[in-house]
Amino acid sequence: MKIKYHLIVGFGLVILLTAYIGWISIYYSEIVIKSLEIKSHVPYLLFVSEIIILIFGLLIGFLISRRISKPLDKLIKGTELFGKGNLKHRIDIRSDDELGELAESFNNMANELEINLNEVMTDRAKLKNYQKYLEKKVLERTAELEKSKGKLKKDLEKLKDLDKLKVEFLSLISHELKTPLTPIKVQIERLLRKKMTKKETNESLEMVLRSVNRLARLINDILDISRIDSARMRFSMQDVDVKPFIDHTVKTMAPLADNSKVKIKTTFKGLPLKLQFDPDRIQQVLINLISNAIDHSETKKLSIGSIKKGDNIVFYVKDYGAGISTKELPHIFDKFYSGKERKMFHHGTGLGLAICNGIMDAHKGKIWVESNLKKGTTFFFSLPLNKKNYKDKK
Amino acid sequence: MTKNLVLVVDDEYDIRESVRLILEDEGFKIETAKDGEDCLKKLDKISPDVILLDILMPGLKTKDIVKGINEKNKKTQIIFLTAVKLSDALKQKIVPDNTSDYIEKPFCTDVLVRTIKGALVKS
Repeated sequence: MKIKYHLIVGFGLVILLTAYIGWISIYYSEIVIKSLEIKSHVPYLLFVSEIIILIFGLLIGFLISRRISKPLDKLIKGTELFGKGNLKHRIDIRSDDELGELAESFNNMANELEINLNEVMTDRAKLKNYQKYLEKKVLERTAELEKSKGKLKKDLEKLKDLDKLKVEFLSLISHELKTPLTPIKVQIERLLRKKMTKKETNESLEMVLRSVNRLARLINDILDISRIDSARMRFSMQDVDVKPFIDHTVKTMAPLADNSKVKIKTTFKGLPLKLQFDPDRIQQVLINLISNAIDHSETKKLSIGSIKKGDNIVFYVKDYGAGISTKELPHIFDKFYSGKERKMFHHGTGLGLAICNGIMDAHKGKIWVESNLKKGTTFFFSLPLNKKNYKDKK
Repeated sequence: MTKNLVLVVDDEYDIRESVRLILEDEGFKIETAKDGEDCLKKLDKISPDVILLDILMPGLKTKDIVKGINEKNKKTQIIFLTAVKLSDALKQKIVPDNTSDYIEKPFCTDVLVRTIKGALVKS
């Protein structure tokens, strides 16, 4: 009974074992057992042999599974890793069987792919760099184009402005020319059609003369300004004895000042003996500034003088009149000044200060104005002193 | 017969005086003003039949002078004096109701007198 029992148990174990690794059968026949007369050892023998078989089976199973499934596992994991982009991954199977060959060809393929992919990546990087370079170039060119477009637009606007200024200038010139023509025309008509007394005739003729003089002044000024604008004004630079020149100029203005009952105060400081300039043109500047000041000297006094400032001698003509508003001040060197406000210098042509500005530019000097409402206006102009002038001073 | 009163408004002294001389010869009574402000001030004292008004003067704008004149004396006829060639747009701006005349400088005596007489008929 006991033998049968052990046989059944042993058989059962073998079945369980073979379920995993294959089929092993052990058969102990009763006759063998009997003949061996090992009846008392049978259960023990059976148990030991079963254990041995079991261990052996497990070992074989383990070895077989290791030999087959591990490389497969490596292959699967390897392909997955490679698929995910780990191009450096290689499969480590060193066997002579099909799996080894498969791994080797996989690795070869991976090497080739890696080389190709690296080339592609390099090309791509190159392309990307080139693309970046092109994009940069496009941006640069666009910016350049925008810049030149802006410049063109500005130039066009400048030209338009210039054209507008030209039209305005011409319309102002025609206005200024027509204004004195009116009294000339109507007074000559009057002289022709009416029998007039000597007094009436003189009255008309004086009016005509004043207007003719004004026209002549205007024409001279227009010629001057157009010569300045086109840089055709000729200057005859000379070494001028400054003090006598100034005294003479102030003297020529005395009748006009007397007429308007204006007193001129002179304070000349820092004058060199000689100074290089065009005496006619600088006299034109001085006369212009002094006659403007006389026109605006409501307080009946004006000061003329000079002061040395650094490398320049600065002349000034100051009136104690109504002053010029800050709104008007920036425009007073403009031709005809602007539109309706233009006639602030009532006896002038509206071009005098623009001409003065041009004359001072040609002398590498400056002309500027300072004004306080109700206190008066001071015009300054400066001429550069050179080393020779300093020597003369000593 | 009373003389018609003409107010000459121009910033140019010689134009004011020239117009005064020739119009006085023609039998008008003349007053002068040197700008818009002066003109409006004068209107407080006198009622001219015609105002000769320069359109380009320093100070008040022509539009405001005309407004001031109409507020003070609706019957006064305004004749504009202009030294600039008037474009149609400018004409429309200055003489919007077309009731006022304008004379371009330099004008001759006959045209001036004829235009003033024409304006007097309207008033």
